[in-house]
Amino acid sequence: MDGRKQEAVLTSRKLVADGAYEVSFELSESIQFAPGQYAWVILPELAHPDRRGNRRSFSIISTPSDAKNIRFLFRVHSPNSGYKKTLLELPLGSRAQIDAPFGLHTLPNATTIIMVAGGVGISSFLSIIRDMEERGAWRQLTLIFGNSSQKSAPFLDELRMYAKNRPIFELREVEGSISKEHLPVGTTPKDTRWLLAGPKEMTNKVAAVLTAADIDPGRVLCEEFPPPALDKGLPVIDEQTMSDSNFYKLAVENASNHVIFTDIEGTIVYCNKAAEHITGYTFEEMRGSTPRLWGGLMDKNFYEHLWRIIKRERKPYSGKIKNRRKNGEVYTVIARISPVLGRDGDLIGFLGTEEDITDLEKIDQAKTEFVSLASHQLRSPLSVINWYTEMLLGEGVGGLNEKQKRYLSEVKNGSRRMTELVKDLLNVSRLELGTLVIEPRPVSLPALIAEAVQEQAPDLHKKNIKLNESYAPQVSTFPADPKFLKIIVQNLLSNAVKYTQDGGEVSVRTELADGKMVLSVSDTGYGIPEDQQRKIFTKLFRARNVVKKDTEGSGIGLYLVKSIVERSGGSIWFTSKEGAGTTFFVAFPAEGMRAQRDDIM
Amino acid sequence: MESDKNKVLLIAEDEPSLRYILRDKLSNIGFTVFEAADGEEGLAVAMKEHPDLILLDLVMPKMDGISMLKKLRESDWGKSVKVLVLTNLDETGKISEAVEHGAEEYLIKSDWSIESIVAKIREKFGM
Repeated sequence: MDGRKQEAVLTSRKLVADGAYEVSFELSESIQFAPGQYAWVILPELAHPDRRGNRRSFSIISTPSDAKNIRFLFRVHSPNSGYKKTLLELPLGSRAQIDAPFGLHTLPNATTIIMVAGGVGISSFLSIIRDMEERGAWRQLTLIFGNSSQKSAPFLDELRMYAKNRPIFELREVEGSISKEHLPVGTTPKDTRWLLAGPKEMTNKVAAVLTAADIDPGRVLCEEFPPPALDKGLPVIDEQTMSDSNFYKLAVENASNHVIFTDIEGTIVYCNKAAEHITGYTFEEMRGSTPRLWGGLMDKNFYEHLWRIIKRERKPYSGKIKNRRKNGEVYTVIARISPVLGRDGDLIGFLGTEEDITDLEKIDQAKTEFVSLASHQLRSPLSVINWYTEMLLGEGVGGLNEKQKRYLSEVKNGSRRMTELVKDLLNVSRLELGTLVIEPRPVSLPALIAEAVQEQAPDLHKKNIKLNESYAPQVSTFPADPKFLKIIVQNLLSNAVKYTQDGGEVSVRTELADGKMVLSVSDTGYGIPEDQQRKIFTKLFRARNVVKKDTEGSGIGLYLVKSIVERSGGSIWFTSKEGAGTTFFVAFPAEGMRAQRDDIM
Repeated sequence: MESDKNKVLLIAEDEPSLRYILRDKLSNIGFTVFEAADGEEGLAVAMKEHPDLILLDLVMPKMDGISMLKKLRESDWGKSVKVLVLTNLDETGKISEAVEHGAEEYLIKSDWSIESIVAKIREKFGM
């Protein structure tokens, strides 16, 4: 559950035990929370400095029955944090912000629950216990409540009263620290759930006892408070000390990514250890050179584009670049190059960071090669199924009865789907490996679309879908790779048919607009939910509303289409409204699809 | 119309189940069919029986399809025999290599039904 920040007013503060205070805040609006959840209390300003800042989280100790007034418990240690001191001195009626609720602390579904609380750790459980009392919905519950002997325990009288009136609730008070003999390990049912809350020292000790008693850690929920020692005596690190010390320099020097600074001309003036390690050059060897020392493998246009962005437009550039190490090895990085501006806003140099992703790419490549290999291997058994079912269904091997024919047709249909899926997977792996070859030549668009329509004819007929076609004569012949243009049209068209109700309409059109050939496929179908639209081209993604209706989709089609379109110089977009329909547009420059050779290095 | 009986085919295919079904179909409709389970056997049968058309798989043991095709083209008899590559290996490099060595078609098995393969063979004979 996500929290929501809102204004609140401090309405009361009471001492409820030695050094323990209960504070109440009235919220501007009521909040929905579950017993056991917590809230952040943000004080507008601190009267006493506190390096942990002006916000703390507290368990809500009141119950959801009053959703406008919520209460918290805290203990003041001495010497104490600036935050708590401020909260202690804050005049009633002061404003604060409450960010709540957080955490899900509903009671687990177990026959026996044992809560172990130390001191103000009880605050984690108060809301749950009070809520059970209010609703008369008690569960089998044991509370082991430890309290250091010097201090009185908060809310002990209230808890004793519940224990007296409700036999289902057992309260065990422990004077001093909780140890093994206070914990009923071994005598409780196996599915007992343990909830621990209190100072770290106590929760650690109890958890150790439970572990030693072989209790599954999955059945133990633990919430610990940092020891008060955190509030005193430790060396202080804040933004000031960080900038006074060589903290940032250390961070850059020891970062695992390559970091360099250059002047305006690109001459290297600084590099970190990782840059030396990744490029193989020492700083002495780099000094006075430019990153061309290990770069320069991309084409000329790339570097012109890069310089225009970082130098003329003064914007950061980020992208994938191929470099060469001193030992000659080519490696791939994700580079980010940012202009560095001086005090007066003038460009004084550049900061370049690079992450070496060569190993990641190798793993990715191995994965893609595996898909490619597996797909090829799948084709032989698929061919066996395809050809033998074809022969069985055909003439000349003795007749089948109608039922046998129908069953066998289903086998054939399933095998056809698998064949298509394997083909898609192969194309995806080719795209990812960069081995896709696109060879444009003049193609008749109406004829190519007609072939794809023909494949959909049985479904169009079965679902009684009306098909509208309109083809612009200016682009009736268009330079395209028929194999891939066909994949584009097939996918868009079969999606339109698949995701349109019986009796709907599907339209295919081509037009010439702004020097581009635009192919569009629209339907009057289910549409894509708005919150899912940006994921629609993601590999293996399927929209929520269609997953329920159709189990045939693989989530590969649109990813493949987008990849092909973009690889061949085109663009793809769509408009969609859930319940009204979707239109996909694919545009290519009027000159045609862009050729693509096997670019594997 | 010329009879299928006059035409001799060679199926070079290492996967027995695929080879059998092709043989059954093609011999049922009247072609004379020879079989080979690898490239070496394919080359030997081709040189001995002089088929009119070879259905050639690419991934085969002992000698792969492209090597068998090259050897054929090096021989006097095999220079002009019709070859249809019938494979599940779908790689641009292999396609252009096969075409360079005079393969008339490059068919992906899983995309082609037996009927359409038969139609393709008949087309090659101008039937």
